[in-house]
Amino acid sequence: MQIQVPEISLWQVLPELIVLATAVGVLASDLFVKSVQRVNVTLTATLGLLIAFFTARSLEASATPIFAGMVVRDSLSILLDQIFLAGAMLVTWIGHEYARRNPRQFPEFTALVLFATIGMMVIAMSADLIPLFVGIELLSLPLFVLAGSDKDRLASGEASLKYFLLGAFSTGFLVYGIAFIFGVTRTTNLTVIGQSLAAHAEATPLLVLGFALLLVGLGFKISLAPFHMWAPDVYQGAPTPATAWIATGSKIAGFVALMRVFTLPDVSFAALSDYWTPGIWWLALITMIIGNAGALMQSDLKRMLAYSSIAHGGYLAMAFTSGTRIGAEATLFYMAAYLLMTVGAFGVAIAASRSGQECEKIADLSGLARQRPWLAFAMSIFMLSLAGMPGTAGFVGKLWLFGAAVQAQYYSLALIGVLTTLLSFYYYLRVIVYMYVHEPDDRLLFNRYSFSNGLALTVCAVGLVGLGVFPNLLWSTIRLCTGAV
Amino acid sequence: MNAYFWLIPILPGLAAALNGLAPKATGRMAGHLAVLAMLGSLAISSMALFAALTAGHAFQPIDIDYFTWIGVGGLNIPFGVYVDQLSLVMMMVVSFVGSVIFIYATGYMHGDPGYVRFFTYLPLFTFFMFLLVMGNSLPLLFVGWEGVGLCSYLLIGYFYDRDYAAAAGMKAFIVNRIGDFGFLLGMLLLFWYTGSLKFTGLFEAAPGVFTAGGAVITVITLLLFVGATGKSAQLPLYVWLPDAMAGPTPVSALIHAATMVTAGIYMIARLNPLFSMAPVTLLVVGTIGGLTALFAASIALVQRDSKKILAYSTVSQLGYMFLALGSGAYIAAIFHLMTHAFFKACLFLGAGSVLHAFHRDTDVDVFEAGGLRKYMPYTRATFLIATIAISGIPPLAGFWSKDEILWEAFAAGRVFLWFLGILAAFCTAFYMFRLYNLLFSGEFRGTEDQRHHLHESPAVMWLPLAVLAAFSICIGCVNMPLLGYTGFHDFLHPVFAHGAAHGAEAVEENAFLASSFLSEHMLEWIFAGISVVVAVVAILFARVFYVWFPNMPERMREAFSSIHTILFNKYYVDEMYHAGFIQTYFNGCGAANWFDNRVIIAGLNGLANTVRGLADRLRRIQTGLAPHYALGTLAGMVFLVVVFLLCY
Repeated sequence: MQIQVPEISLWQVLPELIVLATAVGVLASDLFVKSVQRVNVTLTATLGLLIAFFTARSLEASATPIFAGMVVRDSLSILLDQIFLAGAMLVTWIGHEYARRNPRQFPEFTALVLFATIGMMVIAMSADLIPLFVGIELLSLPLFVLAGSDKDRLASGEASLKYFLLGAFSTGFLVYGIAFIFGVTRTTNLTVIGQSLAAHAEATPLLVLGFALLLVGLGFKISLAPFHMWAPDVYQGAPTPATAWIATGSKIAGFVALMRVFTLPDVSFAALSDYWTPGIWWLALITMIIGNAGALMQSDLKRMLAYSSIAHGGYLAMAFTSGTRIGAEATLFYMAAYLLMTVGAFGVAIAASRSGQECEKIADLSGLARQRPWLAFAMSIFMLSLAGMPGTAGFVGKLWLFGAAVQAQYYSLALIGVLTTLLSFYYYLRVIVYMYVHEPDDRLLFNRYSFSNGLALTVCAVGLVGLGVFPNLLWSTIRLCTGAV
Repeated sequence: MNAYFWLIPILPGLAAALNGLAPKATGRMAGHLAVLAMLGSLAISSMALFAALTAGHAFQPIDIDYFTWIGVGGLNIPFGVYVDQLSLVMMMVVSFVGSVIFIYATGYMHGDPGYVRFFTYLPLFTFFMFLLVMGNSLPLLFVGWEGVGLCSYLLIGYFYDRDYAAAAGMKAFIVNRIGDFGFLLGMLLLFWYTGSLKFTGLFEAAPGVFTAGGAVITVITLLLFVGATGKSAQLPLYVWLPDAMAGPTPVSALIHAATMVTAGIYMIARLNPLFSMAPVTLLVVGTIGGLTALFAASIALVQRDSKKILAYSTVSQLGYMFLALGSGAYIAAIFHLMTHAFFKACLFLGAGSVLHAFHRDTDVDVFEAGGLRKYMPYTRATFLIATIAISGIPPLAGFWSKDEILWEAFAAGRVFLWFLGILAAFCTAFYMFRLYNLLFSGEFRGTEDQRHHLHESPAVMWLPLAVLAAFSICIGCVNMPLLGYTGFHDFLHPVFAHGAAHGAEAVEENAFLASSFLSEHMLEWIFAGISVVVAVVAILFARVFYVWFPNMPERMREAFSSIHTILFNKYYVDEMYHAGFIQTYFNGCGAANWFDNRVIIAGLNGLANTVRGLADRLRRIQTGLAPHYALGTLAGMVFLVVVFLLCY
């Protein structure tokens, strides 16, 4: 008997390995070096992420799966790697200051962000349901810990526990769904599934049941209603930098997983789109309504942003439902825009702390424009972009999302999307009103924000306006990706 | 040379950006920076003109596309410049007069708290003005057009803490919106029919698309002309220009006399191939121009504020230019535009110099002045030269250009336009010398305290006056058809040859001219003689009224009190507009307000309360208990499975 040894080409997963090495290095430095400087940790992580970023850029895309068909280094995964690495860098930067203010969590914070990043990158290149699942777990576990890393606050522990319990609950559905799919197709390999579907596209009730359970598991990750209920509590309770990474990285990774399983032509269940679109259609509809309605009355900034994040998940799901190429492109573009504006908004929430008091309520931003005009200006850009104001990437992205839905003739979905977007202007603009119109309610001054935070906010703001005015900068790359897959 | 054209607008744009973004850094140097930028533009423009002059007939229009500005579907608008003889003349006027006025302004605005702000807006204005005259497509021209409108608004309201200045700025902006609406409609129709908005493409397509004298081209050109009446202050949209005098005087000289208000004339001259195809439009243009010329001149006869008089004079002179355009005499219009820029800028700056002596910003009652020749010799001399020039006394510049307009109107068979023009010429000479006499002749009529402060302006202000006065004397010599020299005409001729070739027979021959026993040249001399006699008589009248018999005006005012009241109140046009449009508008606003409060807001509040109630109820689902959340997830799973299986 001859055992086929699968080809191992480690250089194709070099970015992941670099991030892993950086994460281990950061974690280990606390053991071996006495009194590690916070700034060194951040610098090391930045350096590692930068190297990984440029390594990912230099990789050559190929549609042929590697590692025995487990992962694939196509241009989609390369692009997503870059998005995740850039996001991790921004989160590390905005988290730098938070970790310095709360020294008991350091340097695990940075290492955990990096570990989660590896999970996301694994999801991005999965060509099989097994690595997909491994990636999701690799992503989830560090995030559970991150959510509870503020050991002095009870809310943080509560958030972590809730996140973990409900996460475990939903993972059960995910595994169950995968099991059903394996039971019907007798493989977990998406490439093989795609090829057999191309020859003979037919679904059985058992397979459709598998889709439903898979969607429950992934719907939890991207907090689609009604699987969203953990999100407001966890977002509010978790330390803000952790929230930023949960809200962006984890959500984007969830959508990437959906994409890998459902929409990529010839290497997924795309041929059976008639069977899986109705379910996502309903989830998108409910999510848009619940997210926006929930955000409307919030007085807590992070909770408002949590519901806003749920709402944006709904918009993304709407374009995703279309199952078309333009839908996939719009989703990818909006992911990047969403990353920038959400990380930026949480970054401002970190930066706008007063001495010994984190920014929690929206009212805590009162008078920010007077004392920190640039911070307020950046926050205005993030809010306007989240609302979808022309001139920002949020507008261009939404335009394409709605365009994709209309093109797929989901008129009612697009209509609900536009109406709820109108609704969202209320709670986004309210933040701006607080910053610019309201007087600060006490004599406490806002802290000076660190260089790294300022840098992250600048990157986010400039990126949003840049992509809003010249969307082709990213759009052309995305088109290249979807053309290749 | 051509490679540097883009620098012409960019240099003042850069100065504006520097002064606007780093006001603390430029500070006292803001004015010098702006002047330097303008001199740079002037140098490049001059070199371009020189190159064109040396090339002579071999000169070809330069059309450079720098990049695609708007590319959507079939619409492709490049960002580029089109430089032909017409643009060159305009560039020279803007950069030269602009430079002189900038220099003057560094002295005039010295010590003003808004010095840097002033020198942000003014270079920004020239940036847009260059864009307007150099752009190679209608949209680009429109960008410049709107840009200069914006700067005009900002500079009229420069003294924003005074109510009348802020109101005047808004008035200018709103009145111009009406004109711009017409312009925009005309532009869109042009694109609809020709599919091109670049000048070159437009002119190529026009003869094939439009029938000369047809309804379509007539409507389009009339709409474009509506835009011109707004920007160039013609009937019935002239009302903003007199109020615009609320801005600082260099602004009045540069924007509201020499450059921006001539944009309408430039636009029609630029689009002459289109206008030549629409004889009806040309008739309207000429008639509006002639009426405006006389109308504004008659108002100027009795005004008391020196800058207001000059403002109405500007409206009147712009009317002359439209009169010329309407007679098909595009070159005469551009010629008058050029000479007018020099002598009117000189007059405004002279008036500014007087204001400076009175330590005022915007207005001096001319009956409070008098006898200033003793105190301000340089201002007086230059003012006198410019006054003679505008009155049309040979051999100064104004004579040549105005006489050519009147002669061309007559030769084109528009005898009534000639008649309007000659009447306006009489008024012009009268009110200008009235102004001069009241300011500089006789004895000072102001208070002792004012007399004590009277002084000649510093050299940085009177030297620009001298330069402008010198040009007011001699710039007319570029075109002296009476003496058989038509250099200016020959230079510009290629720009208008194309339109003349394809146009309808816009103007009929003058029957009188055809049957006359006198040769055409003889007639030209006779008409020039009539103009001069009219002007001289008017000057004598002004002398009699305001110097030799100072109580004459008072007696005349009593004898013709009703006419005087009508003229002094500017025919009550502002009041009529107020009653007709503004009051109606406010009434409409009241109705809309009621509708908004009672219907829309009430309805929206109801809707908002519903949504809020819903949101509140949703919030209660969020109990904070993990088992409830798990239950939610389970319910969602059941729902999904049902949906999936139902759709199977």
